[in-house]
Amino acid sequence: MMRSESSLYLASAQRQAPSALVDPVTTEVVRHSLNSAANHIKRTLVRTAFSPVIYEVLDFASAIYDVHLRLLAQAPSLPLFMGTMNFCVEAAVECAGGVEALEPGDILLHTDPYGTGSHPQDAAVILPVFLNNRTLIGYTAIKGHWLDIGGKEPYSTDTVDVFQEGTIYPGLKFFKRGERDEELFRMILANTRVPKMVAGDINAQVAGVLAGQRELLRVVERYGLEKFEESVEAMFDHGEAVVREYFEKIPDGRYVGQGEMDNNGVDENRVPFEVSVEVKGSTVRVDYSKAPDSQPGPINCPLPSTVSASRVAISMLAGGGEAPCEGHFRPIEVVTRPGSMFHPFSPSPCFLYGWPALQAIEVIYNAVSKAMPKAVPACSGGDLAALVWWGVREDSGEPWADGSPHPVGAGGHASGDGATMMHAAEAATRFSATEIWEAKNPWILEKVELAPDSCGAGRYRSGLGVDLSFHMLEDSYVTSAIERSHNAPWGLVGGRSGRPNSARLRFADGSYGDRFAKATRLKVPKGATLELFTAGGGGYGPPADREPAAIRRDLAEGYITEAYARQHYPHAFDDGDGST
Amino acid sequence: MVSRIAIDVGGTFTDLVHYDDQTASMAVTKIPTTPASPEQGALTAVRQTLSKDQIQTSQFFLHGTTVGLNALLQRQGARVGLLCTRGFRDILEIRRGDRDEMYNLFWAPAPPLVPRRLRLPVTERVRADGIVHIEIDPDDVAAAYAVFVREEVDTIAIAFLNSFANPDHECAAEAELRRLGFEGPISLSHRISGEYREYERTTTTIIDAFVRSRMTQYLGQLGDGLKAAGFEGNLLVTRSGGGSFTFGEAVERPFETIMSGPVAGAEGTGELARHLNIGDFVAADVGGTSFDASLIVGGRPKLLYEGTVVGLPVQTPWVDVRSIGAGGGSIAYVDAGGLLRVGPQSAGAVPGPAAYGRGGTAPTVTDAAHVLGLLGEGELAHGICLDRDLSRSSLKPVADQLGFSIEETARGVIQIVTATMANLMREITVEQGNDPRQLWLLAFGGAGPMLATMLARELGTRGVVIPPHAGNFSAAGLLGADLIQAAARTHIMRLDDPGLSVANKILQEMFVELESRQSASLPAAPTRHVGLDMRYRGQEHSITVEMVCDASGCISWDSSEVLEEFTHGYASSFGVTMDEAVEIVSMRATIRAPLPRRRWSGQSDAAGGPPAMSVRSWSIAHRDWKEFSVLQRMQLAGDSTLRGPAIILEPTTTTYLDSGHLARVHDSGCLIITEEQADDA
Repeated sequence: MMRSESSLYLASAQRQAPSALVDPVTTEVVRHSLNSAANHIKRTLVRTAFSPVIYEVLDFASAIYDVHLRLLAQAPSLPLFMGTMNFCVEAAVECAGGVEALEPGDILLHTDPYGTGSHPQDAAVILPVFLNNRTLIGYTAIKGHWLDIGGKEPYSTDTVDVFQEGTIYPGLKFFKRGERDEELFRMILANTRVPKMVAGDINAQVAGVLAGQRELLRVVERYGLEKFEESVEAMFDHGEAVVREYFEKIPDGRYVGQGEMDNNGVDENRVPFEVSVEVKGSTVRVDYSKAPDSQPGPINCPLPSTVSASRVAISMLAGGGEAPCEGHFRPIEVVTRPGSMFHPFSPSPCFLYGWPALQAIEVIYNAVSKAMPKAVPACSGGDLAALVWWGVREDSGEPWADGSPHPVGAGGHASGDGATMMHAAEAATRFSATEIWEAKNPWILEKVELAPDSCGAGRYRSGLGVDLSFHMLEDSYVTSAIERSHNAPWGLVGGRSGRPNSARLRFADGSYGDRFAKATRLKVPKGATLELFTAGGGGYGPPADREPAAIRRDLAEGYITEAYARQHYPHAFDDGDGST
Repeated sequence: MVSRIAIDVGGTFTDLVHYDDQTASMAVTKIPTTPASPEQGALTAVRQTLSKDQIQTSQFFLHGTTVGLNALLQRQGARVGLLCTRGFRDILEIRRGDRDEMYNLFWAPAPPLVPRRLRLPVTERVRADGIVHIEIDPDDVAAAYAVFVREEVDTIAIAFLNSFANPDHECAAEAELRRLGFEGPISLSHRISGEYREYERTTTTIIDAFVRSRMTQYLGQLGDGLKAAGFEGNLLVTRSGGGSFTFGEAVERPFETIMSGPVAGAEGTGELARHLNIGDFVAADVGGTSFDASLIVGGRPKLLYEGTVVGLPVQTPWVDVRSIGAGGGSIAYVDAGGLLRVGPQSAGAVPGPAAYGRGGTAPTVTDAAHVLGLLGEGELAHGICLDRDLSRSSLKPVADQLGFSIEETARGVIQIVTATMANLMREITVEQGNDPRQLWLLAFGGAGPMLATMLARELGTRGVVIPPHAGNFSAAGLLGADLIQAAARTHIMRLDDPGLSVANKILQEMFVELESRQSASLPAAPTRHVGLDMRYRGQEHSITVEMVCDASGCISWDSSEVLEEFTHGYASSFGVTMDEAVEIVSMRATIRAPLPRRRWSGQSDAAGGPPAMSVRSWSIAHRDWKEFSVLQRMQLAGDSTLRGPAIILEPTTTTYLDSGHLARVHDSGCLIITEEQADDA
């Protein structure tokens, strides 16, 4: 294993000599049109997809790249995917034989985790866009989560190599010169437990990238290739300037954040790691080189997702609230150690790549808080608290599958309480309506409700965690991919921690199983109930500074109980320690 | 007699339009809105503009209102208590877990309209298939009611899980509340919406409960005032989903009026499209602060079946009007990264654009247009005369930052705002499978006719239509709003002949219920219309396909014909079809009673008006300054053709006719603008 070398990853550099002819008007018009085109890809996909993971949960990203693999625009969708898509396109094109091998009408399928940055289920569909059927000008791409791609289970937390995780399609041409490859299509359908859903979703992805192609061509034809390219350069410079301006304000220095994974999925040892953030002028370097070696279980995070986690964290902080493009990424330098869990090599298992990436985002904010405590919230519930379900329907014998992340508490921050929502890395995703779930799946939900007292106390408290109970009407299986079950979400500037994530089974006889977090292919028999308890976040500022009126309001609304209030906020009671 | 009065109450102005059937003429008034009690402004407009005789002979009063919307925006509504299924107390607060602003780390949703202490659980449970899983416990209703009494709740909403499949528990809870003595309004979710998704249905129910008393009071006062002024006809208000219904029905279903205001322009475009019969339209309504776009296909605005208002989903038919913050008052600036940006911040009506001379210093779209001469000499309605020096000095700081001349900056502002609007129109057309090159652009609102030719060029539309009274077109659009009742019900089943007969049975029940809602004296025999929401089995999102049905509202097609229509609709939206079975998701029943058609006529007034003159303005098409003739729209002769460059003035708006464009005066009073062919330019 390579131990000492470190590797530096940079976004594509600025062009050599900025042209004096930059036109801020056309640039703004082109920027707007490209974002509009990316949105069009997203809407087409959502409206045509078959799996709830895409049309309800929105577990995908759609983006447009230029010919140099620089991000032109992406629709609001899964942030954690956004920084990985250039790697996807690059790897897929390389597998397909390079740019020379691409022809108009080709559409590539790529699921190699070490190219996409994700697990094999996150299937990238990539369309090279040719102007006048001659000149390659860019790519439209969608990376979307398929419900099953034929791994050892539909979803796993205990794989030991990448081959157990799903079928790898390395940059294959799903369409060749406009014709679908029926043999490859048969192969894809033969390697999934839910072929109808996968067939529907891959066709929806094709409809999406085709829609994106039409819109990208329209923009290029409208302004001409030369003017388009000029505007794109100016657009990148603009994004870069926005992020650089933010980091200019942060004092130079190296700030260290600490994180920890509950375990690696195959043994019970905790896995601590460190990420440092070094600000120098307007450049920010995110350094993972102290991370532990790659792990025997699936919490390894391939380089594309390590870079993406850094980009998500930084552009949410410094991007002015706008959709990022390549330029926003330029001030971000990512340092990794090849062979570590944040820069693993195939065949290291990486099914849960997103979980260390999510923790890394919180750790980056933890580091930034040491320079600017007001710039970031306290830790959120810190996880997706994801469950993936499957089984065979009793009446029809048809296989079914479904899966979802769940909301957690957001951390308190310098200007207010946190709310309850999806983790920032999954900001645009949703979880299903109970009524949709019950119309499809053999279960009844007994509860989807905020959990009183699950918040982190502080001057500004966190959002509450959520309690969900899934009562099964038929035998089924679940894989639970839950992190941050040992470490409660941290508070900031004296704020306290919230409750961690966990789950347990309640059997038909009323007995309970042990609490668990990561579990693969857990049988939930007919009549049993899975209870999921998602985390609150951390509080911000000392609890003693919380306004008594806010505490009384939380009590009246039932967000906290009186026992909790007396424990954390004795100052809200007349005698200062308990009795009123 | 089908003379009628329409009043559109906007944020800044209350517009009145009176249509006199005898003369086919229209009278138009604009007075300032009275925000605290909008009915006062409306009644003042009626009394000031119309004679007693005109009021008495009008058969319809049509109204577009933002009262419900404003109650939501200002969160001033009823104190609502919610009964919900035990275990699901926080549906309003957990939502679907997503963030409206995904790149904003600190984003938080607005607090729910009903606080947690007033969202109280009832032990009960219905399954998705309608089977009762747990019987309702009336003691829980009593316990909740005790809290509601103590908390002085005005209105109670009941939203139980899966009530769309079996409403018995909601009805039982309502009966229990009445037995306990509650006399206030109760909103039941299954009567509000027969569709699934509990967050969306519960929110819609809460909105209904929240705005009901405000709407009841407002419509009551307005109706009384009109009757006192001598009006004896039907009182109608426009629905978010198009068409209109009576004040009485609006008080019963106030949530259907939330988007009453913005829908009027789309409705009017539909009526005009049916009259002109030249094809489909995209409507561009450019106001001071916002730009509204809608698509009109086959003479009707496109409908959605869920809308969004102040970040909340509303599960009701919704004319697909999309809005962005771009208009005549939008402010131009240079952002942190050095790009020229326009909006969404607006100078509003006060202080307004710098050129108004009312103390505004921020450069707006109107200022940029005035620097370029797009508004002629800048003499607008209401005695406002734009000051070009003020416009220039407002743009100067932006120009200096960019290193541009003031004129270059002004052109940039116009180009950016035009492209932003064109993008929105592309999204609304292309995503529904409508190629903008096959559409006409209907431009109205104060700033619409000024930008129309540029928008048309950006989109590549067939041409532009500027309607009569373009600045007041939204109010005029109310005049043609047919009477409509609509309902939908979710019932998922296969698309086959047995499935269709179940659908027809449910539709008949729905039509009976809809007829029981009707309270107007109908102007014409109502017709029944049916739509089916369908999808490929395995999908979630569906498309709505209009059915051919008989007079009783029974679908005439067999399942293979319905399938063919679905496949056609799917392919035109998404460009592909699937090899999967199709299922019916929801049935949509609509009763439409058309208002008598009104005649369209021009507004020519050969007498008076200043003589023609000219102004030096920038030609966007030629990228150069040119001499534009300045004309009064009233003086254009019917069926004549005018060749640009010209600036056409009328009391409420200004049309910029660039060189290379021809404007024909249609006998409806519309200006129909097309580009000259290159060889005759």
